[in-house]
Amino acid sequence: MKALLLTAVLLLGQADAGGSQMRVKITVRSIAASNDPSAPAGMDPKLKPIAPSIESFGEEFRFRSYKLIDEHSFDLDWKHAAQVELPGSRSLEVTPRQLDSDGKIKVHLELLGEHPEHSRQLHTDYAIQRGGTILVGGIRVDPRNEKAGKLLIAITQEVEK
Amino acid sequence: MKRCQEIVPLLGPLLDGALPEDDRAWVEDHLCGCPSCRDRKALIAAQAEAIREALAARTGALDFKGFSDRVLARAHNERVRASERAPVWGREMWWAHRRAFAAAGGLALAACAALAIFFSPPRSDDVGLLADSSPRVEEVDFGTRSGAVLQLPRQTTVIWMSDDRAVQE
Repeated sequence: MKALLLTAVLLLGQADAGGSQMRVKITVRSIAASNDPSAPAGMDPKLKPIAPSIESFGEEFRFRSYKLIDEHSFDLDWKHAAQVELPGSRSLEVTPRQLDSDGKIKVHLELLGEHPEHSRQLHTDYAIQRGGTILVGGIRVDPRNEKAGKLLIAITQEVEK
Repeated sequence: MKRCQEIVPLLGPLLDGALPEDDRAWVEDHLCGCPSCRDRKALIAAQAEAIREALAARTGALDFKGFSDRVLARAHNERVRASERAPVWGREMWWAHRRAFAAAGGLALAACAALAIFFSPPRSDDVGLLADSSPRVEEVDFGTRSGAVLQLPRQTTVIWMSDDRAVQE
């Protein structure tokens, strides 16, 4: 009986080790969505990997142009956060938490405000499938310049190869 | 000379005039020299004649008046009885094979539904169908701001916040 329990514990431990070995790839893109007539219209070609999401967003929000400001990719361990600097001394913190029973990855996301407080502006928990993208936006690209447009942050759950 | 055993089966066709010309020649040649086969031929001819006479006597006694009317009336009765039997037959068939019929009906319905789903074009604005593979927001806190979670076509989920307060303040 003891041997059986020991074997079960060892197997569970190995299963847990196998799960924790899998890493999570996340790409965060900061995008300026604006109606500035001086900005080139349409979508920045660098946004091609997430074009369907931007096009769907554009059908609803109808910004004139979408320009990639910055892009960062992370290869994360579970429950390890990645921090991304955003324009206007703001930042985004993204943490993969666990693999859901339906195969989606649960992610915790926090948007932190300007220096020096860096107060939490938004936090959310979401589940996303591999290859999926979630968009977070609405704040200004430049908090002091309305014409700079809205900041759109695209968080993509990359497919591990 | 041909043997009589070969001739006897040909005597009937010879009498009916159904024997080919070349066979008839040698059969008749054999009959000329064989009294036994001639007797057999005569016997067969007599039997045939007797049968014809008997049939003629019987048919002469028959009354064919109104025959076609009787045939039509009988055919009509048979048709009516068949139509009476059909519902009974249907009920018995249904009762005996009701499970098979029900299973076949279910399968046909499932096949129709599967074909309808397979061949129907996807609707890009059908959020309900896309929701399964779209990112699922489980919890969101906008703090002191207002905001909304939008589920857009093409598996796009948007968390949209109100404008910056820094300028407003």
